[in-house]
Order: sequence, then structure tokens, then C-alpha cells
Amino acid sequence: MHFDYGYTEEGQLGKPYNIGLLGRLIPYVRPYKGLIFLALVLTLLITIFDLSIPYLPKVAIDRYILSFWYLVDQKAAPSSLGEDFTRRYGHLVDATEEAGLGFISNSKLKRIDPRDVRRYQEEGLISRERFYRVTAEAANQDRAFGREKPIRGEGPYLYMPAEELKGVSPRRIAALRHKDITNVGLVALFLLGLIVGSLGLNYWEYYLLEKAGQNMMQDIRMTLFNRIQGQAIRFFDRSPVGRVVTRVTNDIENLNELFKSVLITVFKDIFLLSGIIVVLIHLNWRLALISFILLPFVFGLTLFFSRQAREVFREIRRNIASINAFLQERLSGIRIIQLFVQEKAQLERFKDLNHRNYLTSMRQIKIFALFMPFVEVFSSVGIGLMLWYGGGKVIGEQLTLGSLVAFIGYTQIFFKPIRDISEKYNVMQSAMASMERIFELMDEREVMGEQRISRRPMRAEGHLQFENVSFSYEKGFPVLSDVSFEVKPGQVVALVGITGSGKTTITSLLERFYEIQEGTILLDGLDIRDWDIRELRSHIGLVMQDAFIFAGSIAENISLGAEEMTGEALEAASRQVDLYQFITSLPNGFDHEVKEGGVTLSAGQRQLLALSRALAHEPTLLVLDEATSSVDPETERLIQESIFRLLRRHTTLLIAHRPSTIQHADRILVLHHGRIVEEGTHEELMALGNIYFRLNRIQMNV
Amino acid sequence: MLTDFKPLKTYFVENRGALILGLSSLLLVDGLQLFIPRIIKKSIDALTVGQATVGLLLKYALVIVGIALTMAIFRYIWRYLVLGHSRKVEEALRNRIYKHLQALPLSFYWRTKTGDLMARSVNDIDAVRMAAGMGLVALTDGIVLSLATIGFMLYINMKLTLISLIPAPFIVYFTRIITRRMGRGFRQVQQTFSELTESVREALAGVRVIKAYNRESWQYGRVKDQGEKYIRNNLDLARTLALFFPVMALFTNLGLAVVIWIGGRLTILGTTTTGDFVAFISYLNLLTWPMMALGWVTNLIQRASASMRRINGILREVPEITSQTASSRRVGIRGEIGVRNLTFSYPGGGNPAVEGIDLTIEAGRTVAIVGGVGSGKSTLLHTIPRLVETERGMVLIDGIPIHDIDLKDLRGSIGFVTQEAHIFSDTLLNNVVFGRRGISERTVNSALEVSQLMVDIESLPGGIHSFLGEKGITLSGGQRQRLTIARALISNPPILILDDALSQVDTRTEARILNNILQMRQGETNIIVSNRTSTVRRAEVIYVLRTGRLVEVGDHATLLAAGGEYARLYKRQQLAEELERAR
Repeated sequence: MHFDYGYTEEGQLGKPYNIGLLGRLIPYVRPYKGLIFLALVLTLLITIFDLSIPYLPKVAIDRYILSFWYLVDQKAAPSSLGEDFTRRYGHLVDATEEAGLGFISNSKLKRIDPRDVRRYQEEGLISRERFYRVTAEAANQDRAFGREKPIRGEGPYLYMPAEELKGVSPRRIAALRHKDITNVGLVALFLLGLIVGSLGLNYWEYYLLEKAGQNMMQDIRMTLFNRIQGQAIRFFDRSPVGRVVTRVTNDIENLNELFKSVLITVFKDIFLLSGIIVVLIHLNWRLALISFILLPFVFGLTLFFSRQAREVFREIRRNIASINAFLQERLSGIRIIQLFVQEKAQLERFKDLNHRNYLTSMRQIKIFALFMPFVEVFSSVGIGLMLWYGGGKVIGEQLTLGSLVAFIGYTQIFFKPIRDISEKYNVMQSAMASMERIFELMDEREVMGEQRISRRPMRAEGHLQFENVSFSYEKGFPVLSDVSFEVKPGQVVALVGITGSGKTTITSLLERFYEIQEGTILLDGLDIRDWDIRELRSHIGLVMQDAFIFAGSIAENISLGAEEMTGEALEAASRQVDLYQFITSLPNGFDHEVKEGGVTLSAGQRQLLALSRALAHEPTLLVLDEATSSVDPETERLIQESIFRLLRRHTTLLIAHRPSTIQHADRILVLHHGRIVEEGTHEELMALGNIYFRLNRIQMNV
Repeated sequence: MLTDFKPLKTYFVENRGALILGLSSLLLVDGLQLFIPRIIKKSIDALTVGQATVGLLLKYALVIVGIALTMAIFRYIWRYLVLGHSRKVEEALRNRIYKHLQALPLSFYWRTKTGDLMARSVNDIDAVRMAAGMGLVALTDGIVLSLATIGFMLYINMKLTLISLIPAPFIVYFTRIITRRMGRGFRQVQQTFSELTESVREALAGVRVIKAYNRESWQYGRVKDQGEKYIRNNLDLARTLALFFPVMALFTNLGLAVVIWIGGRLTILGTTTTGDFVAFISYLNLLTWPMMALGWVTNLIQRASASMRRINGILREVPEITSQTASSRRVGIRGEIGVRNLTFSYPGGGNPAVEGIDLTIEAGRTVAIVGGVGSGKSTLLHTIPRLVETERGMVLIDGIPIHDIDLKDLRGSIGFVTQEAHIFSDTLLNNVVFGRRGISERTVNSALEVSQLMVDIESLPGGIHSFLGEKGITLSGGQRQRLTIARALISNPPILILDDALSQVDTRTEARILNNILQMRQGETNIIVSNRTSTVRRAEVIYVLRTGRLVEVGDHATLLAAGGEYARLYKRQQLAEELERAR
């Protein structure tokens, strides 16, 4: 049996990710292009630093520690060889005053092809004997030790056979080679500088990237959040909060990963790769082409494995989604499992899912376990090819040995960036999937109907009219049919009816949370669709059935963060509903922090807080959708009294269950199955003896 | 920190064979790696002295490829075995957490968010898996390679080794400080992240209020503030992390600088041979990778131990309800239920939900429990299968305290249908059978008949095998309730509890279902909670609850005549039903 758990949102198998999505990131990157550019410059510098750090010890050894010189004696070799040498390498030789006699340093000798060096040495052109170069001054001082002159050359530098220094006291060596010692110290110092510099560069690169990344993500997050908040209420009806929250938090977090690790690595690697390619072509383009023979294979292989990995990767995401869905269902229904003693069977099911995930992961491991070593093998094949083909060329004298050595060295680092890039593919897959979802949500647009003209009437009086309003959330299931009524300024109109008769829907339509299908709603004679929506809402003070309390201070919960609201306004609003005393009795008064959902407040207190919230915003029309949950008698009395007092002062549309409240209304509308079936004062309706009468008896019985 | 990982020990022991083989392969690859440069050097030497032939070069090239292939095989082996091990750890740990979660009492779920449990079972395990797989590889690689390298260095020249180790104590000290800061940073980022999540969640959950008051900008500001706090915390962490890796690199490089400076001088002065010096430097360079690996591992282990701490938080929760010893096992429950002076309050809920309740339901009776919202009906029923533990007083079945009955037997003999019908994303049949074995097709069919679901099923395209849930068919509230009733009925339990289980079924169907149930379950105990008078009046005994107390007991006629709470409730409900019918 196939258990899908309803999760097929990962898209169709084999469908590649839409790379074009990356383009949509550009507007978010733009504000930080300076930061990013700086970070990339640092990245390049780091690469240079990293490459030069291993180079410095080489310099120290070749130039200063093993600072040998070799005697070049043109007379000792056949003249044709000597001329050939002078033509090719003459510039490397430090001539002495003696004609045809010069010295070549160890490090310069390395620039000559090793095979030639061997030939020159066999012919006696270059000595096998090694010399140290000392300053004349140092040599003079050394002569004071009383040794006979073993030194060749004249002028500022003298050359002394290395053999001479064997078994000599360190003090004398220190004196003779003080320059080398100083230079080694300088190299070490320079190295130290590079290390510290590299540390700083690395630090700033990381920090700047993090800074740019975090800020970009915050921008995307806030754009997305704004977009979501701007959606019509229908959007929230069909999108579970949890899923939307995941987009704003987790998916954006994932995207940050793409920016931070993938893009930078890829940039670095591409930089390195092209650098190596340029160097290789510069060294010997024929050999370079040979070494590129492998590239199509490597790219083909990478592509092949990547495609395989993509399928497996998507399957893993599906597995994880299944595991999550399973957990969500079982943990929220844990009661059922425990009641039916199904722990064992459910555990088996979970184990199955989990094992399926394991098997898929093992497939992923196998793919990468094949791929990673394969790239390494290719790298070795590359080296082998160089040795065999390049070595053949060296034998055939078409290539210098030095170039070959360099080639082999570069081939070894050539494959590292390729491997890196494919390794990052994993992260990229996940990030692309997240990006798809983020932009999908951003493109979502649940809009209200056309706002024909946006008018802001000078002064609203609170005159409300419903004219033949019909509405349904879903086609074919009418919630309101042909509803007409009027609330005149200063009036209190009550809506009564059993649960599901459409009372709350009326308040939602009034706030323009939904668009009506038929009829008109007028506020102060103007169709609410012609009102500026913010203006419209600012005139209505809605208190909903369940008082939503935000985590934050009491003051914030009343003002909802409206900064222009003064302390006096808060106090007045809370006094009107008899909440002032309670608030001031709290440890920090109006600054008292309320927890998420207001759990520390009683249901009645939450209700009163919501009431004072509505009053504080000075609405023209007060809409009270009363809480149905039972509160303790004391609070009930409190709320009652508050409402009585309010009613006398505001134009009010009131949904209530308590007969005592309803009785005070100027007019009562009885809503039944989405229609107004009775209308009149309490007395009139009681006399009628129909639905209102019976409703009233139900309520009175409680 | 290591104690955090203790629960993983068994898995490491279990997989020890694979681990040893895998890690040996890893070290073998490390060893083989050293040969390729030697062969390259040999070929170059041969070319230098002019002894190289194309044949010889080909031979060398083939040897290199051969070694590379051997390495590839062993690389495959260690990847497969060690990373496979980490996947095994993942699987086993997740199973263990889930198993443990299933055994935890309902009270645990009152104070825990499902989302949090999901995060721990998926995201946190991921962090642990990373440490158990690649972390282990890098740790082994790092330790073995660095020890081997330092060994070689010591062998070559003790003095130079000691010189190169001069910066080590500082680095160790620095690393300790940094890891501690890193741990703090990770925790802080995690914390702000959940605060950010919560602020977004709250803003969207309260979106109707926000829109009604035009306060979008306020929520925007709040989320923005949290986001900025998140940035700050991340940048704080970045300041530490940004130092971490460069500092690890500093260790080897600083050693290098010191060796060049002091060692170079010694070499020039002839105290150290040049050969030793050159070899030494190349070994010191080799030390860079294992040092980086160890740094990376430290990072990984830090994350994993933070996650392990969260996982251990679940594993440490003790299943409150444990079955008694095997001796308490008994068969054949008749279905008499006694409740003695029962009191229970929800944590932090103030007044007790039920208080001082005493009642006895004789076996084979059909009884009803009525009362207003919050009168304690559900709480009372929940104590019978021990979904909530009694605080004071006790519940007896057939005269035996329920704590002395094996939990499986207890729950197995109760068919409990809860208020909300929980449907799992699965086929309709599987939702009814719900994993129980030995259920015949006939039993299923008759249960579906009794719960009046058969007609509905026939109209479904996939019939009884239709898939339900998010992507499947959405059943109506009434259909869902009828399904859960069928689920309870198929095991024909001695005690059936319907906790307001027919509220969304229309009156006529409800009557039919009740008729069926009462007929089918003659001689068994049935407890029914309902707001419908037509249903309640059929019970032999009616218990009336009000604010957690038992206020009236009797049959319909008696209670109605008494004119008390029941009579009031009855009248009210009758009116409501009348209204509902009035179209």
C-alpha cells in the first residue's frame, strides 16, 4: 500500500529548478552590493594570501637557508654549449671580474630546466661544488681568524665553498652568513604579517557576508510579511498559519544558506578555476588542451550524478515531509492512539516511514560515495596523462621538464573547485526549493474587488445600511440571503439568532473582510466599496468573539501600538469598562507584560481589554460580537454594566445572547439561517411569541 | 558535554563492526594518499637523469591510476559504512523518541507544542546525525593525522617540534574561550529565531484584529524589531565564528613562522641539517588540514550537543502511567464502573474540573452524562481509561482499582469516542481498523452499518479504500464522527464511551445510530454524553454535572419531575432543537 500522507508539494519528479528565480533576488542584493563587492574583494585577497603562505617557506629555504651558489665556468665546456647557455640563461648569472667566470644562485638554477642543468653539470659548465656568497666585509673579518683564502671572486661579494663551513663554529657562521639569518627572520616576520592579515581578511569577509546576508534576508522577510499581511482575509481562511510562518522563517533561513555558503564558494571556485586555466594555457597551450580533454567527462559525470542526486534529494524532502506530517497527526491525536492501545502498530508505521527515509538516504550516500571518489580518480588520471604524454614530450624535447612539473602541480589543484561545486549542490537544491516557495507566496495575491473611488468623507456619523445583502463563503452555500437593515446614528441595534445563523458574518462584511456578492452596504450613505478601506475601518470599533490578546504590555494591547495614543486616552478607555482599577493593581500597571494569548488573564478580563481597545480608537460605530464562553458571575456582572454604559453613548451594532443586554437595544433583528425573520423591540418580539420569544426562553433558563 | 551524547552509546556499540571497518578504510586512504606524490617524484627524477622511457612513464601513470582506483574503493567503503552508520543512528534515535513520546501521558502534551516536538524529531536529530557521520570522519582524520604528523615531526627533530608547538597553549586556551562563546551564541540565535517565529505567528493569527484597527504597521514594526534582534544575535555569533576558523589556521601557520625564524637560523648555523629542516616544514604544512578538520568538528559537536540536550529533554520525561506487574493481568471485564470521591484539576487551571464525584455504573447499563459547557463531563470520562491521572479518589472497574489493571487490558476493554473526530491521512478502511489484527471484513461492515456510514461509502469513488486526509477526500464533520464510532465498535468492547460523539450528525441519523448501538450492545455498558434530549432520555440512568460536581442522578422521568438542573437543561435543549428544525 502506498502512503503518501498527502505530501506531493515537492513538484514533479525530474523537473529542474527554475534558475530564473535567482534573478528575482537581484533587487534584494542591490542595496548591499557595496558590502558584497567588498566581501568578494576580500575573498580574492584571501585566495592570494592563502596561495602565498605556503610559498614563503620555500623562499626562505631556497634563497636564504640553502643559499648556495654554483660556479659557471664557460671555458670548461665546449664553446658551442657555452654560447647556447649564455644565450638562454646568461641573464641568470652573476658575473665576476674574471672573464667567463660567474656564479648562479640556487634559486635561479631552478629556473633552468633540470635536464639542461644535468647536461651543463656533466660538461663542467656548472659546478657541482656549492658556494656561499658572503660580503667582502664579512670575509675580511673572517680572514682575521687566520685561515688562508679559500674564496673566489672580487668586489662586494665573495664566494666561499660550502665545504669550508662544515664543522665550523656557529659563531663564525653567524658572522659570515648574518645576512641570510637576517633575511630568514624577515621572511618569518613577513609570514607573520601575512598570517595576521589573513586572519583579519577572513574575519571581515565572514562578517561582511553574514551582515549582507542577514540584512537581505530581513528585507525579503519584511517584504514577504508585508505582502502576506496585505492579503484579503480569504487568504488566511485557506492558508494554515503554520505553513505561512514556515515560509517567513525557515525557508528564508534556508535561502540565507544559499547566499552564504553556495554563492561565495562557487564564486571563489570559479575564480580559482579560471585562474588555473589561464596559467595552464600560458604555460603550454598544447598540453593544456590535453589536460582539458578530461573536462567534458568530469562535467558529464557531475551532471549525471547531480541529476541522480536531485531525484534522491527530492525524495528525502518528501520523506521528511511525511515524517513531519505523521508526527503532526499522531502527536495531536495521541489520545486516540493511547485509547485504542495502538502504540505498537503506530510505532511500526513510523518505523516503516523512518526506514524508507533511511533507505533513500543510503541511496544518496551511495551516489555521493561513488561520485566523490570518481572525481578524485579523474584527478589522478589527469596526472597520469600528464606524466605519460607530457613526459613523452619532455623526452622528445618538445617540452621542458620545468613546465611539466608545474603542469602536474596545477592539475592536482584543478579538480578541487570542481568537487567543491558539486558538493554544494546539496545545499543549493534545498535552497532552490525554499526559494520557489517564497516567491510563490509573494506572487499570491488575494485581492478585494475593485475599489472604485477612494473617498474619505469629512465626518462619519455611523449611519449603517444593509440593502439586500447576500453572501456565501462557498458557492452554493449561502450564509446571508437578502439581508436588509439600518442602524441610525445613536441607535443600538441587536442581532440575535442561534449559532450559525450568520451574525458574525455580518460584522466581517461590514469590515470589508469579504466582498459581498449581492446588494449594498452603506456607511453614512456611501457604499463601503467606495470608502478608503483604512478610513472605513478606522470608523468601526469591532470587538470579536474571542478577544485576541498580543504578547506585550497592557498599554500596547489597548493602543495596538498607536503611538499617538496618550496615557490619558488609555486611562479613559479602561475606566469606561471598569478595567482601570484592575490594571493599576498589576505590578507595572499599564506596562504590565501579558503573555502569548493572554493566558494569565481571565476570560472576562480579556474581553474587557478588547472592549477598551475598541473604545480607545474612538470609533463612530461600535460593533460588539459578544463572547459566548461562560465567564464567572462576578465578571459577567462587570461586563454587563460596562456594556450598558457604552450603549448609551455609541451607535452600536450588538450581537448578544444575554437577554438583559438585548432588551436595551432600540431594535432587535432576529437572524435565522441567513435571513432576517423578525424585527422589532423586545416587547414587540416577545408579543409575537415566535423565534425571539423561544430564544429568549432558552437564554433565561441558563 | 559528553554526557549529552550518552543515549547514542548503544548505537555506536551496535555498529562497531561497520565503524571499525569504515574508519580503517578511511585511514588506509590517508596512507595510500602519500604514495602518489612519491611516484610523481620518481618519474620526475627519471626524466631529470634522462633514464625515462615512454614505457616507464606509462607504467608510472598506470600505477598512479591504480592507486587512485584502490583509494576510490576504500573511499566508497568508508563513506558507505560511516555515513550509513550516521543514518542508522538517525533512524534509531527518531524511532526511540517517537516510541517514548507515545508512552508519555496527556499532561505532557498539554504543556508541549507539537511543532516543538516535530522540530526535535527532525531538525535536532539532523544536527546529531551530522556529528555522528561526517563529524566522526573529521574527528578520526584530524586526530590520527595530526598525531601521526606530530610523531614524524618529533622523530625528525624534537627541538623544532617543541618550537613549532610554542603557540599551542595559547591556541588551546583561545579555542576554549571561543567554543564557550560559540555555544552561547548558538543558543541565543536559536532562541531569537523561535521568538521571531512566534512574532510572525502571532501577527498572522491576530490578523483580523490588526486589519480591523488598521494596525498593520504596528505588527510590521514588531516583526521587524524581532528580525533586527535576530540579525544582531547572528552578527554576534558571526563575530565569534568568523574568528574561529582563521584562528585554527593560525595554529599551524604561527608554528610555521616560528620554525622558519628559529629553525631557519639553527639550520644556517649548522645545528640542524638542511634535509631535516625541509622535511620538517613539509610535515608542518601537512598539519593544516587535520587542524582545520578538528576545528570544524568542534563546531559540529557544539551544535549537536545543543540538539542532544533538547532531545534528552524529551527522553528524560517519565511516562507517568506505567502498567502494573504481570500478576495484575486479568481477563473478561464485565463493565461495572465505580467512581469514588474523584477530584481532578488541570495544571494552572484554578478550580478543580471535577470534584468529589461518587457514582457506580452497573455492568450492562446504558447511562448518560449531561451538563453545561465546562461542567467536567469529559474530564470525568477521561479518568476511566487513565488518560488523566486522578488526583484524589479512585476509579474502579468490576470493583478493581484501575491502577491494578494492566493498562493494555484496561484500554482494550473500553471503546472511547472523543468529541473531536481525529482522522488520519490513510484509507477509510485503515482508519476504521486502525492497526488492530484479526478483524474480519464482516465485523468492519457491520460496524459501518451500525454507524450509518455504509451509504456514504458506497458513493465514494474508491469505496472503503478511499484515501482520506489533506490530499484525499475531506469528510464532513458528521461523517468523521460516524467513522470514529465505527472505529470504536469493531472491537466490541465491554465498555463504550461516546463523549458527545454525535454532535455533528443530524438528529434523525443520530437516532438511527443509537438504536443500532443499543440493539447490538445489549448487556454491555454504554456511557453517552450528549446535548440532545432525544438521546439522553433513552438512558437508564442520567448523571447531571454542574461545575465539576455531580448534582442529580436518576432516569429521565424522575429528573424531569424533580424540576432541577436536568429539567432546565432539558427544556433549553428542546427549544434549541425546535429552532434548529424550524426552516
